[in-house]
Amino acid sequence: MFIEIITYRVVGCSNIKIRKDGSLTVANIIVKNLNVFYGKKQVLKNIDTKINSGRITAIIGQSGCGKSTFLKSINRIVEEENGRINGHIYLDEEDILKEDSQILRRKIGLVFQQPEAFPMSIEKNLSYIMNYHFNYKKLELKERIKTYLQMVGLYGEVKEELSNPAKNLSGGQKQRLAIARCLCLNPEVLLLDEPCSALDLKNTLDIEKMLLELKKKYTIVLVTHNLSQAKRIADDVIFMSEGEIVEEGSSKDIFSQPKSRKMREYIEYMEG
Amino acid sequence: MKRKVLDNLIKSILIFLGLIAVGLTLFVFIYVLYRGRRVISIRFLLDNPSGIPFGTAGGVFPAIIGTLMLGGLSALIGGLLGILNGLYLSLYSKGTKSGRILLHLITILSGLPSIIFGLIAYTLLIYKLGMGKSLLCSAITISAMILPFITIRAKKIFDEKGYTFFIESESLGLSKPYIIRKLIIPNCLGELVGAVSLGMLYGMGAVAPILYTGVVMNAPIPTSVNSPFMSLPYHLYMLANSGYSDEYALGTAFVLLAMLIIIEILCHLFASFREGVGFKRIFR
Ligand SMILES: Nc1ncnc2c1ncn2[C@@H]1O[C@H](COP(=O)(O)OP(=O)(O)O)[C@@H](O)[C@H]1O
Ligand SMILES: [Mg+2]
Repeated sequence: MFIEIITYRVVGCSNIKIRKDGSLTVANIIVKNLNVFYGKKQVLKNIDTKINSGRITAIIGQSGCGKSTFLKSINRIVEEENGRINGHIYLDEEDILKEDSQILRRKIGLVFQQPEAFPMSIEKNLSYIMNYHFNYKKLELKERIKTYLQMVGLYGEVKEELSNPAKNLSGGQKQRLAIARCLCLNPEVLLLDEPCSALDLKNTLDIEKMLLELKKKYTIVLVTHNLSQAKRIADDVIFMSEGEIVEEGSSKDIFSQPKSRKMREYIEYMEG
Repeated sequence: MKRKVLDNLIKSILIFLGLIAVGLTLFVFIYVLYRGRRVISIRFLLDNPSGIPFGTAGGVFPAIIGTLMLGGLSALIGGLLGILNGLYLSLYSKGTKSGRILLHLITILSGLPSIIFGLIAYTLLIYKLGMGKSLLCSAITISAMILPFITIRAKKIFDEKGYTFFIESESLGLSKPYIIRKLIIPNCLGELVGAVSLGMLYGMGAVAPILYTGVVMNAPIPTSVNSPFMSLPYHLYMLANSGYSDEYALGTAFVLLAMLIIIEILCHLFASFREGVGFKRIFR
């Protein structure tokens, strides 16, 4: 059911290319010389990297090193918080800093670090977004709400209370609702800022399973504090420190043979 | 142990102060009711004023309606502008220079004495623009006076109950007007009504801004916004000033007080029902 929906949407998307063998490919994110400022403070310094489609990229690093800001720059929400972005971010060839920000944000969904449940019912949290972007009939809307809630493993828990206020959900449930909200954009890129920080192990593993499934269709970037999570699901890892990328590479290499001292210290520190 | 004694002491002082506030309000209300008891009746509410000197017989009906119309119109103008200002300050100009300048100007405006608003409105609207003394003219003046209050309140409401939702909604590609219409306003409506109504009550009780711009001693119920009008505070002011009839003055005062309190309670009720707590909140 879900795969059908995605395919149907994906084909309608301008950025999706069809390979010779008929399969679909989503865009890579290429970052060139990115500098981000909040007021006079420079939060990101000379970021150069490439984030590959069809893979899960984990961003790790001490808190305050600019991980959230990096995601917010790719979604350009930094601009609404009066931050300044210099440099280039490409979604394949297209410079997203030149694109209309609203169109862009629909393509690049972001789940905030501590997402809010919007002050409305659970189902309206999703229909509020879908009604703006799409023209679904009532029945399809209902069907989709169910699908997205199922994808994040929330449907079973809340199916009796879809019209109750979402503010009564637990922290973990709110986090999953926020992921569902993002999924209902049918984006090309999913940016997730510590999406499992309030979840127990079972829900965490469910979300990870979902991400592994989704990575065929999306470019996924995940900020995490949980190194074992990064080892479990990330294909690539970016390690940041003080606003800079210190080390990046495939998950296997980077965890088995960290090159920089900072990275080694960080791993040691996190693993106790 | 010491902490506990101190805590209890502070608590008792606060309770005492609270009781004084409640007591004072009750005292004023009862005093006014008692002194005006002989004139207060249904007829006093529903009759036109009469007698010589004027106002020492009959009722205050046109003044009640005039005050309500003035309040409504001011709330409409001042409320709308104040809420728009608040939206701009909280959601559109956070941390920008234009936002800071606007906020400074509004803070300055909020410090101006009400008579200044009356004089400026008189010079601008009546003297320069040639408007007649009218309900509209007074409502504009009152709106200007309550605008800073409503703006600052509205900004605070949007900061607290809107900003994070706003940013997160924007990150999902929704447009600002859509977010405001579908999420921000519905979520803040109860408190916004509270803020506007407080501003309105403050405006309805003021005499200085309407003195030169629209209020008159004796007028029928306004038939349009261009008519001059009667108002309770001004009626009261004239009666009390002339000293002919304390009873009629205090009767008028009672009607004014009761009206303000009823409106306040209604707005409060509206706000609590919006938040789904019903009657509980009034007594909190
Ligand atoms: N809206 C903002 N305004 C000003 N400074 C900010 C803002 N958001 C983040 N910062 C600063 O940017 C730095 C990086 O923050 P963040 O990206 O949240 O780090 P991380 O997610 O890695 O913990 C911090 O020093 C923080 O104080
Ligand atoms: Mg963060």
